[in-house]
Amino acid sequence: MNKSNFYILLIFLISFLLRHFLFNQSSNFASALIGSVIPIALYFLITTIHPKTKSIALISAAILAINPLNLHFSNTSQWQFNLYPLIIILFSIILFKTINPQKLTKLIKFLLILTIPIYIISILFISRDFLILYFTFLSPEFLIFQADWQNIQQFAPYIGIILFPTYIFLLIGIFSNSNYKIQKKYFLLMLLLSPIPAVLKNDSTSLGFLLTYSLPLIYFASFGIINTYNTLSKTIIKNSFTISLFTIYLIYFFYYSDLYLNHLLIK
Amino acid sequence: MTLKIKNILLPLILILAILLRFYGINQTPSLNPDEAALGYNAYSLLKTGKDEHGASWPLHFKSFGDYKPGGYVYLDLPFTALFGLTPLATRLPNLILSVLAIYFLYKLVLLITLNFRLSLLSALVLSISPWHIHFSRGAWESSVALSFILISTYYFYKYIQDFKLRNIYLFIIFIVASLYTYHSARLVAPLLTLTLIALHFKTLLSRLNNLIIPLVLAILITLPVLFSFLNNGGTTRLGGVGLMADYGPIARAEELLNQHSKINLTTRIIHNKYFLYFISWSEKYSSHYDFNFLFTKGDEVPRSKTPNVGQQYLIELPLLLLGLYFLFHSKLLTKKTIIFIFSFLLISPIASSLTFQAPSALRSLPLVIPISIIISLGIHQSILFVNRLSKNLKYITYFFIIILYTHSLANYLTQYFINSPKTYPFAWNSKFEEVVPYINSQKNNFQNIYLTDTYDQPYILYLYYSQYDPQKIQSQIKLTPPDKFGFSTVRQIDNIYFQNISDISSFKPNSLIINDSQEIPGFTPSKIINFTNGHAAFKIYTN
Repeated sequence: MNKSNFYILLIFLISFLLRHFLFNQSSNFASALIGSVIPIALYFLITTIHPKTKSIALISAAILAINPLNLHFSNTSQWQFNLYPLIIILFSIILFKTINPQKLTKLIKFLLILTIPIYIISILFISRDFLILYFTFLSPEFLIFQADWQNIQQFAPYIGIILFPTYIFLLIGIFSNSNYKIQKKYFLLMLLLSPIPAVLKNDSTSLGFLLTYSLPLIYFASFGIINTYNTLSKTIIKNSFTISLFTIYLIYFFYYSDLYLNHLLIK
Repeated sequence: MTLKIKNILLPLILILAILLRFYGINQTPSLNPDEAALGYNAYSLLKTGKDEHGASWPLHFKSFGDYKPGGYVYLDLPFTALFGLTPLATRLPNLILSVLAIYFLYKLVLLITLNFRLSLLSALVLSISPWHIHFSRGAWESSVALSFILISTYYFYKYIQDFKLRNIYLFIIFIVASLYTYHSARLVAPLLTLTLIALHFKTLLSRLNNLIIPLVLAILITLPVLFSFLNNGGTTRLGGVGLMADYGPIARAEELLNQHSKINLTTRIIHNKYFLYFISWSEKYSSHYDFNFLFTKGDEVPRSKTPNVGQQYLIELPLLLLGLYFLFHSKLLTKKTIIFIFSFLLISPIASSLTFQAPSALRSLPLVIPISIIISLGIHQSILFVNRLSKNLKYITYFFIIILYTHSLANYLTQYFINSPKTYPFAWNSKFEEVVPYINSQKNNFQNIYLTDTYDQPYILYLYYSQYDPQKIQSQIKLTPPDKFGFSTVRQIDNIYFQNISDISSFKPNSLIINDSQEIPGFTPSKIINFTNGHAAFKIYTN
């Protein structure tokens, strides 16, 4: 077994154990299993688009395994929402495997450029409320501080859909230069499009429709982590960075777990 | 671009900036209490050499107990001396300096990028920025401090380029002037200075011998403001609006702790108030970059906002994102310039995020500068892209960009001049300019006059619009104990009482009572003064 396979298996196991025994109150096997498959599917999607990005794929899978939004929907009552990102990922893998990469690149480029006139049309003709809600899903408050912004008490209080360090590296990742242009453009397109179903739905189930949204967020965060790591020169600094990052993630994950297990369920 | 066009464009941008900032300045917006306080204290200094509270030439003005930095009041002295106590005179220092800010942004961007188009675009974007226009049209200390910071930054870079000592002296004078003008600048200006020093440390070190005297001068002229801030109540403002004045994190810590069946060391560590204050600070800091704040809703404080628009135009969002990308990937800028612009972007909201009202467009005003530069970079790169298209497509794209910007500007101006006075008349303290002359005309006909305190700090607007003799107010002024935000007010001037009016029968006979829009049961108002939206601003009763 090579290193990558070992790590991905480990991520799957941790992901499954977390979902089955900790975040899944009635220990529903199917729910835990589907939730644990998504990080692995994301790993395969990223490596399918560009096989040289295994490290980004592994980090993405690891972050997704402990991501608040994805853990939340391992809850039995809403587990079917997890099928939505899984289908999108599988569809994307098929797309990248079957369609000519050059044609696909052109299509993604075209769609990305198309977002600008669509945005301008939306400014001029579509309700301002649509844009306000759309921007709400992009806001730091929603992403890291208060996903339960409508106060409907269906998500852990005082935390967003991603963890704090994910947000920091997400910003770095988005604005970093990439050698894997098609991969970046694909996830950028996903980032721009995925909040739209939730905006259109705009009710208490909106969060479930954002499960695909966490995929590009986490991809860019992983990309940001790898980019930051690569800019560090000395081994000792690289190791310190890795340990610090691991510790910070652990602290925030612990914090989220407490909010979910001891505060959401009490409310 | 031909030399002729080059020479015309900057004056045109400055004329546009002047028109947008000076048009109707005596009426729109109505004078708010902070502006009135600055103007009246300048008037008081001119007449008596003392502020409204009787302090001689202070560095911090006690005003509402918030100890306003004195820079603006001193800047206003010549204008008040020249034009009298009028809104135009009170606002002129900021109006002039905000136009100068646009000119110096042009010079600064040209100096650090050597790109004429980019510098011109930066000036244009700032000149039509709703954020900058809003805070240019009023006696806002925040805007003056920003102009000082910008001018000082230009002279710093000028010194780095030509090593003329005159420029470093000008840098010091303007950066220190910002400290004398606005509380938030006391954090932003030093941080920005440190960034500039760090970026050019080697250059400055090699010229250290020449810099010793300017450095001593900088310390000497900074000391009075530091001393006054620490000893003369300057910290009161921080105590009133600072992050620690927000009890939310403490309440949250208690709420979360109480939800645990068993409280142990781990739960205390997770839910300790310092961690929650850190979370609260991060939330406030990042809220300044929220697209809804920047592009759709703007500030929540009515006095700092224009209805239905954000701090910048919606059309600028893709340009900002594009600009941010090219900030890191364009060969147009040097590494040091990139770090400077990015640091400016990160430093600007720090002071604002340390207060409990965030995001605040007023306190984070410096953010408008890096945002304008980045948007301009986005436009610049778009122009480069569009220029590669066919001629027809190029002109169509330019046409649409111009149409969209014109539409955005027209929409903003409609909202600002027509909708805003009707939507937030209470926040702009409208109609005091009508009610105060009426009070003065009736002052001797009634034993007592009661004026509602529904609108913020009515006493200062009375002093301002009646051009009340400063000597008379200095002898009778009495501030109330500070409220939870650290603000005090004055309850009585002569026979005029500023208070809550709920029961008219409790007032003495032969009284004139001026209430807000609220009806008083059993009484019919003898006169009604309406806001521009037709709703009652003041209902006047006699008892």
